[in-house]
Formats: sequence, C-alpha cells, structure tokens
Amino acid sequence: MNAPIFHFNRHREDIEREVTHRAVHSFANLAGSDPARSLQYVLNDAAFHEIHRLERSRGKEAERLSDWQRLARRIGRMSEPELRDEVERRARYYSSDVAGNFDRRVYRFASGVLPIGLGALFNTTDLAHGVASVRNLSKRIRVEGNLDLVRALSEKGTLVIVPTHSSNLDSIVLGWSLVHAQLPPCTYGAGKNLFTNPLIGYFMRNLGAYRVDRRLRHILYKDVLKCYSQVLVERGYHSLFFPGGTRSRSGGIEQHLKLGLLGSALSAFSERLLRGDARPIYIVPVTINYPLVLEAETLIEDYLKESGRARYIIDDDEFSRVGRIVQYALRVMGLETSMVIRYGAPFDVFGNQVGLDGQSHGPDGTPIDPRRYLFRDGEPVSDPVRDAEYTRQTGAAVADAFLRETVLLPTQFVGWLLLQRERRTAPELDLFALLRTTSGDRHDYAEVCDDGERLRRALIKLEDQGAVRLDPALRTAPMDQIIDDAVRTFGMYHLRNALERSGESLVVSDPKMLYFYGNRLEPWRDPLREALA
Amino acid sequence: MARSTAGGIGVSTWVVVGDGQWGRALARRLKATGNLVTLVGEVGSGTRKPKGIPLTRDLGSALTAAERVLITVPISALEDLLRAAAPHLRGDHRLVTTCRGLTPHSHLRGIEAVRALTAVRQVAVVAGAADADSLRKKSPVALVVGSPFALWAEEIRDGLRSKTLRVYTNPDLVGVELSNILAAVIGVGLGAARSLSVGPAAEAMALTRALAEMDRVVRELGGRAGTAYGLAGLGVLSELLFAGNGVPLRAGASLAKGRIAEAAEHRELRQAARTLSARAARQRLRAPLLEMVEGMFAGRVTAETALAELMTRASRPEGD
Repeated sequence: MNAPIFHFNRHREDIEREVTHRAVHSFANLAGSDPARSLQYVLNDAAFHEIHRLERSRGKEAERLSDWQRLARRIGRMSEPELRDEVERRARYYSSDVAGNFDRRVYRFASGVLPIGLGALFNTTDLAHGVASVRNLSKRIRVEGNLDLVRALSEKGTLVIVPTHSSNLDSIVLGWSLVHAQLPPCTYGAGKNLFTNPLIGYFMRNLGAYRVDRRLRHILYKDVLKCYSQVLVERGYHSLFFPGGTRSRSGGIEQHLKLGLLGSALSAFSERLLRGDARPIYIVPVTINYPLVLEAETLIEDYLKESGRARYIIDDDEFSRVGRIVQYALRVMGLETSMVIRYGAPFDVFGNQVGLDGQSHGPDGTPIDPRRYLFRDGEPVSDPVRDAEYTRQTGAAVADAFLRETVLLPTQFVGWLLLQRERRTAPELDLFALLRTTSGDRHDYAEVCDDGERLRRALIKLEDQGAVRLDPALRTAPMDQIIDDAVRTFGMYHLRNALERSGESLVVSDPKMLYFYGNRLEPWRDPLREALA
Repeated sequence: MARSTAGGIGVSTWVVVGDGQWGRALARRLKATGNLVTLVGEVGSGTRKPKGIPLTRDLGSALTAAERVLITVPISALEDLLRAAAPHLRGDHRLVTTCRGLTPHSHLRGIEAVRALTAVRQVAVVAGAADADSLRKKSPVALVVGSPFALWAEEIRDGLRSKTLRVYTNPDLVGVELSNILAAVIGVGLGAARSLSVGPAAEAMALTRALAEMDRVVRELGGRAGTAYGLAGLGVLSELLFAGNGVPLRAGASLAKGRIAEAAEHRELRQAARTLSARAARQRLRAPLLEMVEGMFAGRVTAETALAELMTRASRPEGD
C-alpha cells in the first residue's frame, strides 16, 4: 500500500505555507473592498475572543494574554501592510499548531500493536490463550459493508470518511478497522485535549492526526483549520471527519450534521477542477455501533442537563481516566455481542452513488460526470450559494446513510423496549419525570418477551425495506436470549446496572442508561410504537 | 449549451417540456425575454404552436442541447416524464417545474420526485395565482420562484418577467411547494363551506384559520415560517375565493352536496389531502382543516359535521 500520507512529512512545510497564504488571501476581502478594514476585523475578532478566554485561564496559557492585549491596543493604528503581516504571522502560528505529523515507523508499530492493544481491551480473556489469539479481533469488532468498493475507490481518488461519533475510542477502533480492511490510513482532526493522554497522544501526533483546539472560537483560527483540512483533501490525503462535530450526547444517531467540513470536501473538488486536476473525491459514511459505550454515563448526564449542549468539550469523562478504560476493557471481556463498524456505500461530493470503476451514477444508473455540477454554460463557475446548497444536500445524504447503515444491537433494542413500556404505563409524564421516577419499576419477563417479538417483527420489516440493519442475533436468536444478553451486557461495565433480572421480572435500575441506548432506535419510533400499540 | 452575449444581454437556451396552455404561455415569455426556446410536446396535436418556437417530440435531443429545463406537465405525468428524461440529464442541468400536488405512485412533491429519479441538483418551483389566460391577456399578475439556488432563481425570474408579470424569488423551495399544494387542498374545504352558504364572515374566518394551519404545516414539514402567507399560499387561496370557480372549490362543492364520487374524480386533490393529512398526523401536528377535507373525501364526515366539529373544537390563543 502506498497511501499519500506516508509522504506527508516531506510536504508538511509546503502545506503550512499554502494554508497560511490562503487564509490571509481570503481575509483580505472579508469586509468588502477595503482590505485594511477586513484585516482589522479579523484581528479584532481574534483579540476579543482570546482576551475573553485567557482572562479566565491560568498557568502558561495566561501568559499569552498580555500579547493579545497589546495587539488589541495597536490594531486601530496599524497600516495595511502591518495588518497583513500580523494576520500572516498569527495564521502561520496556527497552521503550524494544527499541522500533524506522520511517522511511518510509528505506523508500522501501531499496525502491529493496535490489534493486540485493542484485543486486550475488548477481550482480555484471550490473553490466557496467548497473544496470537488476541490478535483475532474480528470476533470482537466486526468490520463489514462495502469494503471492496471502498478499497477500489481509495486507488482511484481521495476518500473522505465520515463516521458516526459516540466515543473517544472511535478514532482508535476506526484506525484498526482501516488496517483490518486493508484500507489506507487517513488524516483526521482530533480535539487538542485528547493529545494530553501521553500514550494515545504520542500515537495521534505521529499518525497524521491534526490538532483542533475547540476553545478557539475566532474566525482566524477557524479559517486556518478549514483551509488545512481542505488543502489535505485537495492534495489527495484520505481524510476522516466526524460530521456530527462531537460525540452524540443522547446516544442517538446524528442527524444534524456540521456542514463546514463536508463543505471543504466540495471546495477541494472545486479547487482541483479549476487547477485541471480531475481526481475524484468520495464520501464514505461509516457507522460505529457499540454494545456498550465507554462514556455513556457522562454523555447522557451532559445531554440531560440544561447546560449540556453548551458543554462542547468534556475533558473529565471516562476517557480521561485510565482506570475507567481498563475497567471498560475488563468488564467487556465476556460480551457475546460484537462491536460493528459498517462502511456504507460511498458517494461523490454531490451525493451520487459510485461504482467499482469510480464512476458516479444517477438514480437510474446513468453515468454522471460530477464536474458538470460546477459548470454553467459549458465552463466551471464559482458560486458559493450554489455550493452551500450542494453541501446541505450531501449532508442530508450522509444523515440518511447513517440511518440505513446503523446496526442495531441487543442493548439498544432492550433499552428502547423497556423505556417504551414505561412511557405506555405513564403517558402523562414528561421525559425528565419519567427518568426520575421509573427506577425500581418491575416488568413481567414474559410480557417483555412478547413485546420484544412484536418489536422485532417491525424492525425486520424495516430492515427488509433497507431502512436499518439488525445484528444477526437480534434477527434470529430466541427473544429471552436477546433480553438476557442485554441485561448481562448492561451489568458488565456501567456503575449501575441499567436493568436487572429478578425471578420472573425485569427491574429498571438506571432508566437514563436505557434511554441512552434506546435512543438509537428513535428515528423509527412511529412504526415501532405502532407495532407495540 | 453555449451562452452567447450580444450587447451585454445573454441569450440562454431553454427547453420547455409540456405543450399545454401553461407550457406554451411560459415558452412565449422566455422567448420574449431573448432566450432560445424549444418546446417538447405532441407535434401536430392540433393546438396552436407558439410562433418562432420549435416544437419537438424528441425529449432526449432537446435536453442534450439545453441546460435550462422548465417542466409544465401535470403532476400525474411527472414521474414517467422524469424516468424518460433521466438518461439525458447532466449535473449542469437546472430544472424548474410548475407541477402542483403529489405524484400518484410515490406521493412525492414534484421536486422530491426530481431528486429521487434524476441526477439534477439545481432545482426550482414556480407557483402563484397567475395562469396562462392572465398571461395571454397581459393582466397584471405575479409568480414566485422557490429555490435555494439564488442564481438559478434569478435566471428564471429574468426569463419570465414582463411589464405585466412580476416574478418574486424565495429561497424556501419546500415552503413554496408545500404552500401551493396546501392551498389547493384547503381550497376544497373552503369550497365546501361556500356551498353551505355560510356567508362572508364565516369564509373570512375559514381563510384566516386556513392560513394559520398552512403556516404551521409548512414549518413542521420543512419549510419556513411566513412562506404560506406569500403568493404560493395566500395568493393561490385568495385567487380561488375571488374567482369562485376553481377546481378545488368545485370539488368542495361536490363534497358538500354528498357527491363524493364526483369530487374524487379530482384524484390529485384527494391524494394530496390523504398524504398530507397522514404526514401531519405522523408529526403530531394540529391540522384540523386538512383532516376534515381528507375525512370528506373518504366519506367519513359530511360537510355539515365537519363544520360543526371545527366550530366546537377547544379554543386556543390566535397565534398558537
């Protein structure tokens, strides 16, 4: 395999230069025809946000406050060349801060050691049988989907992989899935806070990940970041974005996607076209389906808090505590159910399906030349409004693919089923009252099995229509086995069991966990509720 | 496909599909604003051919030669037309339809059908109270072009407008298309009310509540607040009431007289009522007028019962 990222370090400085140049160039026209006013605006915006942030910071970071304060006082008196120099200096600093690194030796080492590490993480019982058995991770993590097609397309163009996002483990298990599926490594943006973990940070730093500092809210930084990701795609580096932006707090499947990074794939395609580079770019939707989510407790608490949505960066969750990761590993070791990483059908940047030959096709199978979407009267034409709408449509195609390619697992099935039974018993309660008051409720086991059968029939119908996918066990196993497996799985890791078996009853212990896992089925709630009515 | 410029005025090539009255009227408008237009329809069908506009049955060749496409066929013929057109449509094709209603097989809005069956992405819809007759008579009228593709919307506007035809643009494509359909369906209810001789005050009440309901349904089904109050919604509804003889009013009158089979001949209205009512129910939307129209088409309620039920519903604040 000869992935472009193997040669990244040779081009790194050039990439940083291009990003800096483009960012400065784009700012010159920001506030109309007066470049000085535009550059003033950019610096004022950056100074305002940074002073506001640093005034609340401590330690080494706070030392930068005086620099920004000095700049804020000077901006109004600076000439246009001075403003340009200042913007360039700071853009250069940020592009250097963002830029990743790729060390082929670390990649070779990680490709060898990651399966062992993840094997230990997800199936430590195998350690007793030797390292060789641990490496057979495919029993614990199932990688499935359109793998032949994605492999073929990786040879013909640039992949932009867009997965669902539930856990900070996502990039690690996805990295493993790329190795396992013989797909090329990708570059991706990772929160700067994740680099603070010395071990994981080391690998991320040397495997092409670039740093995203989500605390920086000013347009100078955001533009540098967007330029960086776009330049990488333009230059043919296979990339990975989490279009949900952050981990799904509710446990649900992301449907409101951040279009900025998806837009940079289209911008990269457009830029390539203007330069006469006809290489295609392919969007590859991926769903990551966990029977248990490492950070479930923190995420759902955060979601349910009024302020939860605003708390964008969580740096004190289970991922930040090595003990919890180990505990997760140890408790998950006996799981019957595999984690599933599913690669969906790739499409071009306009949402058209793509064949093995790399050719885009319309809904009727007619070959499509995607470059023509940027044409007007026979020539490529720049039209930002058009491109924004194209991106919105492609975002909708990704969101649809997330639904179709989601693989539902027993914990999610049982979570939704039990919470639905609770809703039926107390329809007058709102969600918060329901979650507060249902702990300790008992459900007749046989009744749950009956409801489970009806729910399964409805889900099979949906799967037959291509609307969703079911874990094979969910489709065929006896219902009592599915429920027992889910109860056992819930009990293996979380601090409180979501659900317990007590004689011929099931007892709800942690309704929030049922809600978190059950949210995965919410997109289909209407036909599923009908099936249970 | 090439766009030539002479004296600063661009000459664009268009293909108008559908040679009914509306298709021919809009083709004439496009030609009058300096565009090269080809009309696709039934050659020699007996209808008067617009002067200076070539008429062809060859859809494929016409589409290959032009990237601007105006579709004026009835919604019932749209899906078959799109299937025939799909192999000839490219990424640079820009398409606008005048179709109103939902497709008979998939129950999709016109633009939803375009996206489902073709590779075209730049789409728009034209709606409003104007018709071919008003264009021919040069009566002062207005249309709205719904499209998030601003340049395409402006191109359509510039191609159609005249001293007597004002053309507005609106980025809310979904809202324009939905308002246009809802106005026709709710017009059935207003027709039933008028047939019961409820009087002008009751009609005014029905109109205001109809608008509130249309706005609510449009918002919840993906459009924007306020679009229903524009030409595609209020424009169409008020034209129906002022003219007093449109298809929805006639269908409503048939329902009020218990002639359900006669009303059901307007299949596109019955189907739109059924589909939109089901979509509203799925979203748990309050849409009492839609429900009543659907109920009358289905024979579950009479116009008198519907009116009585609407009048005795629990009251809410006006803006709720």
